[in-house]
Amino acid sequence: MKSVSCFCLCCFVLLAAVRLQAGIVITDDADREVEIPDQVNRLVTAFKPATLLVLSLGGADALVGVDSSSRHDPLNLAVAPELKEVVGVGSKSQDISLETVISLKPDLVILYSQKTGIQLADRLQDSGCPAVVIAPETFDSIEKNLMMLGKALDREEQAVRVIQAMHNVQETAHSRVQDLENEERKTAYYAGPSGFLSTAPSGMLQDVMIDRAGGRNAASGLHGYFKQVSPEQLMDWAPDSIILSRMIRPQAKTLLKRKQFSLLPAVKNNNIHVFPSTLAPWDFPSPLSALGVLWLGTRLYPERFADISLMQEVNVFHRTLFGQSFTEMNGYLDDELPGEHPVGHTHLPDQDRGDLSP
Amino acid sequence: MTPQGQRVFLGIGLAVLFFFSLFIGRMEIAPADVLAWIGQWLQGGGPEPDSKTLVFFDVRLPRSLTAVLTGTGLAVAGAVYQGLFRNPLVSPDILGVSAGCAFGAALGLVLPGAQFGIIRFLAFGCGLSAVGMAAGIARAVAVRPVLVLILAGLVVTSLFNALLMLLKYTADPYSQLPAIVFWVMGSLHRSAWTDVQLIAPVVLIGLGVIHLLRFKLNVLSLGDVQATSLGLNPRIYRVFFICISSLMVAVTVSACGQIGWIGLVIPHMARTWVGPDHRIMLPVTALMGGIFLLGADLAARSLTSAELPVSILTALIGGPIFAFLLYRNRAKGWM
Repeated sequence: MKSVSCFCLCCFVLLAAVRLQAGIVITDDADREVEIPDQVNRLVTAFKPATLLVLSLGGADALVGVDSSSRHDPLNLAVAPELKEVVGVGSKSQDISLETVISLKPDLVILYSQKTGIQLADRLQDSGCPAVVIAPETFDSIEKNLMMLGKALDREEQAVRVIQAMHNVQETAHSRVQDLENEERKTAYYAGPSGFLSTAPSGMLQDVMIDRAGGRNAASGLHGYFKQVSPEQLMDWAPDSIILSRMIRPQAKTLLKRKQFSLLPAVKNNNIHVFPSTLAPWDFPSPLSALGVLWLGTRLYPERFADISLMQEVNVFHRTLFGQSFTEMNGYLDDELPGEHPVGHTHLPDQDRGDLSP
Repeated sequence: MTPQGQRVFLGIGLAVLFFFSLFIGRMEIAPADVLAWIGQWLQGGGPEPDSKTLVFFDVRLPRSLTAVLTGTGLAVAGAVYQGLFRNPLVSPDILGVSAGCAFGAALGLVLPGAQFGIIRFLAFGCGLSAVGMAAGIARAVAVRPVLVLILAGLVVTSLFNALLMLLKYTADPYSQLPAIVFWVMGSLHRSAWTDVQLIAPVVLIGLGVIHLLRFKLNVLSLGDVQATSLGLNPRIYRVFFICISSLMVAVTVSACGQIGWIGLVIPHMARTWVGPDHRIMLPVTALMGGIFLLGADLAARSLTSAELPVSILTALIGGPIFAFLLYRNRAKGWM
């Protein structure tokens, strides 16, 4: 009896091994079923969020081609300096060079799930390069993509660790703001990357971030993607806080000086905060968005977050994802608008400044 | 309707629309509020600044003024160009001024750390250089000046469009690209008093000068040979009118972005209504341009709680109107 079961087990292991040898099948975000080799040693990513996902899974070694801008990204270079030397394959807005991708002989290509991306993935598939498309736009889809890529790169344990870290950080924020009554919740206006008067309507990642940080998105009545609003609409919302995407600081500085905004509660009380990481934007869809939630919480309700050190949380999070702390990667936190401020500005506590000195 | 009556009618229309534009929007402001502020002001000491006065005086008033000035400027510049080039297809951006402005603004948006003022300045500068280049090419060719000027304008326009595409190509797709796209689409939502201060002198002086010299346009539109035989130096006046119109267009485009169709459609509407005589048609064009853009902007900012780019509406309304005019004028000449 024992020998029979032993034999069965052996058969099973053997079968499984054969099955693995033939590769695994994963279903991507466009519901395409793609068979990829068991061992992915040559990986190409075609847009920035995909590259970041791979890096957070510790898959930098396998990258043989990345989207061109990822080769100059401060966070990417801090995690994997060798990315500078990796071949650039183009980018989402500039088109991917099909020829370059094929010449790299990749085991797997990760593309974006817009129509052009899917079309490209099918063409690559026909040329014998397995290609998947992903759409990491919300917290749920980021986690789903992490699991999918974890499976493809055989790094499922790290994927689980990253997702756990994202949950932990958000739980830290959530536990401190969950007892807020509806009327206690502060209204926040998020100024998006394409301009001070461009904001994220309900359903977008930034709206979810504000919500999870205990705030209320001023633009939650709008729907769709980034929307332009009029100054009058912003004044009508009269937000308690204004949250700025990092790259629009110069423009926001000019506009916020205008007299028309002088009576906004956020401007009067100087509750204007810039997404703080100097390494990567936390308001863009990526695992780092979880840190954005925590940071937002500390800015909206400083008194409720007095017991934690943001810098420490950020360092732990980066260590989990990239094997180095935020400080070791030469990052620091800075959430102020540059230049003078008429009224006293809320500064980050000193221990959170992320000084490079030990 | 007499020419006088037409102008009065349009003037009243513009005033009424302007009045309404100040009281329509996201925030409820009643005429009674304004009366109360005037009362406070009469008793000495202006009204207390609160969100309503700020919306009224610092958002709606400059925005409506910008809309009227821009609409007027673009429409008159269009009428001048159409007369000057004796061509109904001409719009004020035929010499490349809009393309130049768009490129300049995109450059400002891509340059790291560039402030708002720099974007505007670059737009204005590049717009004028584009016209300068077109004029330079035409001068170098020096035969059949009107035709060559239009062709040179096409050359410069496509050159600056290519440069703009190059900038879009290299721009960061997450931040710079949408900003460039939205800026080029054209909108009045950024308008503040600084825009009015910038546009008003140029447009008002330009309108004044063109108004004073409007009979010369009648002569110029007869063609160079006729104009010369009537004792007018066509080259000098052509350069002069181009300079004034380009300045007006460059200043409006550098403040509001590209707002299409006004410079093309409004002069046609005016011509259909009052005839081709520039002495009558220019003031009517000016008033109609102001009304058209003010109305379109009113719709753009109040149709939804988000902001629609006004150029979408001007093209959506302007296109069909143009088609209708073509149909109505099918048996007549264009002038």
